[in-house]
Amino acid sequence: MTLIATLPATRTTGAPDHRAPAPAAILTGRGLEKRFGGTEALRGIDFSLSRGEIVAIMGPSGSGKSTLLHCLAGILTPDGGTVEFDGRRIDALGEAERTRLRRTAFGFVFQFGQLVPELTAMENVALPLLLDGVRRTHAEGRAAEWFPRLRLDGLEGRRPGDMSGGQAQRVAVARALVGDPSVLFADEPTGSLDSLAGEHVMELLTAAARSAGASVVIVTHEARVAAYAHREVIVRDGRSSGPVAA
Amino acid sequence: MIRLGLRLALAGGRGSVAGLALTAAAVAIGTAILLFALSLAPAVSERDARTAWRDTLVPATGDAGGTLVAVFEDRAEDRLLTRVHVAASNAATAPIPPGIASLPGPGQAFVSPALAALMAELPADQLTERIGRVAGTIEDDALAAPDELVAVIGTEPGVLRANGATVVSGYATEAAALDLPPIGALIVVLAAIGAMAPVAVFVSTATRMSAARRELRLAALRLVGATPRQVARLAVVEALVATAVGAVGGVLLFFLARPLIARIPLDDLTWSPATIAPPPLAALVVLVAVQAVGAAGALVSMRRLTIGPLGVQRRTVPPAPGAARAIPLVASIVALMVAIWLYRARVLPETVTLTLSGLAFAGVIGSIAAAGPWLTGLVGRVLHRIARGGATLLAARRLGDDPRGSFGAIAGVIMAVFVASAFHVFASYVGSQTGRDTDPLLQPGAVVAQLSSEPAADLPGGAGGSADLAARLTEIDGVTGVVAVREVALVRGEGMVGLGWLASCPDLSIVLGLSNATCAPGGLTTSSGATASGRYMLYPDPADPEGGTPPETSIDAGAGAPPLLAVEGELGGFLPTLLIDPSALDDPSAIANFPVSRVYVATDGSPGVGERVRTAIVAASPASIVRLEEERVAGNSQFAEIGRIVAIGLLGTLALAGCSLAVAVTTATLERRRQFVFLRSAGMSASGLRATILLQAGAPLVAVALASALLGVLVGIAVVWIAGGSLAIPDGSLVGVLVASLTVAMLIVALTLPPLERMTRPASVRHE
Repeated sequence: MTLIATLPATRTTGAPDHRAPAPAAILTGRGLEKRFGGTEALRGIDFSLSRGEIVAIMGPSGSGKSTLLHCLAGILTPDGGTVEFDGRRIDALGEAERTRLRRTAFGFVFQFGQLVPELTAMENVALPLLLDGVRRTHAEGRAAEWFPRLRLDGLEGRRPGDMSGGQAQRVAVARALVGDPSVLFADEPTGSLDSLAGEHVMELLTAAARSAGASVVIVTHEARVAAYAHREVIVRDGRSSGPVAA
Repeated sequence: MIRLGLRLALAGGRGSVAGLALTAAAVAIGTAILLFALSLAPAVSERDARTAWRDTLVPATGDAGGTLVAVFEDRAEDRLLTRVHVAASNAATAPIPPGIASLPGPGQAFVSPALAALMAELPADQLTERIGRVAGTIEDDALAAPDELVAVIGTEPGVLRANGATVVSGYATEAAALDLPPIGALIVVLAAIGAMAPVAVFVSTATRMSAARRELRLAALRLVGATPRQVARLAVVEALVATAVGAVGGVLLFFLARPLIARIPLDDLTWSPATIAPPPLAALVVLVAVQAVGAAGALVSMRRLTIGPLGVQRRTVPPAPGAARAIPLVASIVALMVAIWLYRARVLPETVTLTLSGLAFAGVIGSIAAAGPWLTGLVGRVLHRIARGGATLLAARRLGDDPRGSFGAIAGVIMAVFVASAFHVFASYVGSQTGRDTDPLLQPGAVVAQLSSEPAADLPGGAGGSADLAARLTEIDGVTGVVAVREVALVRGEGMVGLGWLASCPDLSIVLGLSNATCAPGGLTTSSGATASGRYMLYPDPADPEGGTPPETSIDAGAGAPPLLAVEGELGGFLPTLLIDPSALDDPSAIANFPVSRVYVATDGSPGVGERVRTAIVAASPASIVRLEEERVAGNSQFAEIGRIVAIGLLGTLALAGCSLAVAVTTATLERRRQFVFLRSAGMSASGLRATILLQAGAPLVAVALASALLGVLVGIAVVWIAGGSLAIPDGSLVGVLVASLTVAMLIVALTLPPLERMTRPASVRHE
């Protein structure tokens, strides 16, 4: 697999651009509601993600965008509404099945701290495969393919503490994609990086996702990051205020 | 600064307070255990002091007389029963034993509450008839424990004099010093040192419980300009909040748990709760020491923070512990051997050498703490090499990356295993020194009575008395045979050649189950190939066979006519040289001049028959020692006592080490909660989390525990051997103990898994 050109995406708020893939939805959320105690984080929100599509969920702090991502990814179960992945409801699945789904079909990139500090970069990238029962030599072989693609050559033996924030995030991206996920969820993936490093990570993330054929859901409050998406969903007070349909 | 520290500790949110509460709870448990450990010796002393009045009889001086006292150990329902027989030799000067209102007259008795209850429970012919009519109750302060069976029985002075009673003019109030054999004292000292190590590990682990959160908080303070000294003070204040609350909680826990702990028997007896109390000064030292350990732990954990505010944020790989860490271990083992050799050689005062031995043993345990991280790192590297799955890789890297922290989690168990292994060897030695007073001749359901420890003594009434007793025993329901045995000294030529039992040969063969004995007239049968020949003179007193008196009678083995069984060397030497049927005596009527020393009673084993036989024998001869076949009495009580104390200590140590492991595993997992939450969000299953935690604790636990056990066995063997004991090789039960201990430790780790699974649920990623 070769590195795809890392062109910045054209901002196409609300509507798919000419590079947008076919509109077949791989992930949908309908009427999602979620409460934390007395706080209503989501109030009947709808969401849809097509195959190969990159969608940015935007909104101010506390608006519910991360909660929406967690519900869509099967990390949280919504109090109301449904989530379907590839035509199958996942909000009604048990924890074990959702765990398996997250491991085999989804990839995750968080703001910071998701790498295991004791493991080398290579081991961190291989970890999802190892957890899925892939033999270590095979897992590390597959992980090694991602290092040149994310410009991480030579960092295989480094530990997270010995890497820059941008390098650590790219390792996290590699880890998220190593299992060939259908959907990549990224929660503020550049939140802890400076703008240059952030853009670099986003370029590589979106390019790598495209090359892997993965759809991407990005939670961000930065317009610069959202610019890499095909479209944006604006969340405010637990409700979607932007276009949601592909 | 103190106020700020308190505010940071208490107002840091629910998680912070929960962490403090957990730390305080763990410190409370450790403190309570220490207080109980401190209470053991005073409780034993108090128990001994309470029974000193009957344990140590001080003979009266002069002719003023006093109280005749004879103390006999008896049993009832397989429990120890102490009978104190008393009579006034001079009513005016006879002192009354402690705990009772007056001296009981003949046939009367004061009994302990537990004995009163047992007497009410059992038929009179099984117990009450050997005690007498109850005149009152013995007060608690004259009893070793609430469940002790004691009777102060009024007896005729003549009977007491015949049974070797002592005339006393007062009663001892202090126990005689426990005359431990030298190796026993050494074992007790080493046990005390060994038991304290896991407690120290536990308290230290507990104070680290919320350290990670505290480090982050205080790093933030460093960022805004707090000096290293200020941060250290804040850390100490915060740690002291937990340890102070924990210490108070520990004292409360001590008092709450005391009635339960008092139910743990030692030497078959429970405790009066009030007697379980540590010396006040020692208790104060412990409470202060717990604070010091907590403060020191906080300062040590703050070392990284005092370097710089980013100290806790930058994670670097510290240099791996090297093999040089094993050097102190070797050195301290050598020091221990030298100290014990000095102890044995008695070139220095015993106190000095015992102290040196204790210090060296503490050094060995401390050195294990130093060498442990090296071994743990080694385990991590090996595990990494063979790792195939994610859980193994995570555990291996963690072990290799933080061997000190990883060993810290298991340090308590490792030390406990070392101490347990060493003491298993000591216990094997103790066991080899502890004889069993079991009569191998006893058949199931049988009873044997040693009528007196003094062979010269006789049943009241002489031969008539014994005949009467035999008749009475035969009448008891369930008794199938009674044989009275007279012990005689056998003299041939110039000197004593052995002991003989004068008893009915056919009866004895049946009652004792001597299937290979032949008592047929006209022949001499030997069961072991030994032969008896020539003429034997028979004397009544084996301790002084000839005693200047002529023999009572003689037998002529050469004649060969009467039944005479030579059994030399049979049954472990328990049987005498010759079993002689009375018909073999040259003068059969002389049998009356030989006192009955032993009675064997065969029964059908029906319930209560043993106690009925015992009651009948004791009622006739108070000094008799009666043993039922099912009773097994240790022969060397001092060594047995040491063994029991060590066993209780080890159980406590292992339990504490298990708690320590659980706390450490919980802490370590919580410190990495964020990573586990992310990993689980990314699809790590709960079983993967479980496998990681179990492997991380289990792999070094098993490997290092095996090394520790081997070391413990070698040190134990060396200690016993150098101290002058016989070589004590532990039996295979050590493996069983080890497997059981490690299994329990892993079960304790498993207990922490459900809450840890809940705390690392993917849903909690929102809060991270």
